[in-house]
Amino acid sequence: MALVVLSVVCASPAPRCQDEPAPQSAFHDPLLPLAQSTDDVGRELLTAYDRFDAAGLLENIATIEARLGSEDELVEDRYVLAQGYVSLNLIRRFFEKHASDDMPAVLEALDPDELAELGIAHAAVYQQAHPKHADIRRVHGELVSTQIRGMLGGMTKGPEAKRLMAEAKQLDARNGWVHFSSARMHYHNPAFVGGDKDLALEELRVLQKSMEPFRVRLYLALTYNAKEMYPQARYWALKATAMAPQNREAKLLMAEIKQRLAEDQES
Amino acid sequence: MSGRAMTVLLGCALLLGACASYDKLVEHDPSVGEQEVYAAGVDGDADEMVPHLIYVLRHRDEFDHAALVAALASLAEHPDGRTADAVASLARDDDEEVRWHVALALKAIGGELARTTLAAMAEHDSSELVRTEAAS
Repeated sequence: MALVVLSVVCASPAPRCQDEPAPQSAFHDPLLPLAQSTDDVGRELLTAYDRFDAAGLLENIATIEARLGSEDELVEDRYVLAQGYVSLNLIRRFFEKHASDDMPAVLEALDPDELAELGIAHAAVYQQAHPKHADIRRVHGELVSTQIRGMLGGMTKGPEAKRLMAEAKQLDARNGWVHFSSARMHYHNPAFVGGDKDLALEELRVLQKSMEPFRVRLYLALTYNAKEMYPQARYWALKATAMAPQNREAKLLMAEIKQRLAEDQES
Repeated sequence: MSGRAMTVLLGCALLLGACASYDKLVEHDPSVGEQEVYAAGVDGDADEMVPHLIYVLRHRDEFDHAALVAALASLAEHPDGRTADAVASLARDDDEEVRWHVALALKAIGGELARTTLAAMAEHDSSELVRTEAAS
């Protein structure tokens, strides 16, 4: 009986509060001005996730870390580095989950928690120097969320990541990446801790009207795929691979969608 | 209440939810969302659903953009020749996503109108993604 009641509760989408503000239609991408204010090394680092270039990421991180404290240090270096560690952890996590045999040697030797801590240290220094900066809190929150492993990790790190995201949203409600993080959380989390793929899709659709970077396209494809809406999933996977042809996650997803469509046709 | 009775109750509740979505589409309710349109087109009875899907295609401005795409996507999965005119009428839509799904639906629907429309899209569409889909 208890199990049935639990399954009903889990199956229901999380109710939204009446006083919660309606989804905004105009978001902005704070990484665009960041790309303009950094140098070529920083720009390469910011787009390395799309290219799935772990070796390049590590190289650029080392270059920027080497100039910290010197007269060559750029104001945004710590912010760029923190974002770089997010990307590095996302790539590592992908290999860990889906292609552990193919994991590049440079990534295998790295501990994901240590990577997150290194990123968090950069975020904390930048945050101290720029206390009103909204997006660094989002980056910090993403780094904390990459440390979530299993139920226990969710219980300890989950609330911390959520708090940082809430602070980022309070400082800048139009930050598209904060909105994206919320959609990502609704996509990945199980229903009993707030996961809701319908809501994730709704959030991504609203966001896509304002900004359409690679990760937004990829998550639209992932969410449609999870909802078994394969034609839409294929469209967004094509859009994602058109933007970043080397990205392994998009390629794997595209192969999966093609297989599902072929199975559908056969049946 | 036994576990079995609860399961039956849960099944009925899910069925009622599905019927509510279906009714909204039958009534041409503009608030109907993309998932409802897609599910109605894919899971519904084709003979009954086709007029309503055509209504969504013909009244583009009354429905959310994603609902329009969902109607096209459901037709790509369950094609029906009666929809060819309505689908082809969207071949020069401003939105790339709509046109790509038009190409997909037309390929599934087939027939003379679909073939000529696809040939024109493959040659003249401004988007490479659409041209490739129409030509494939």
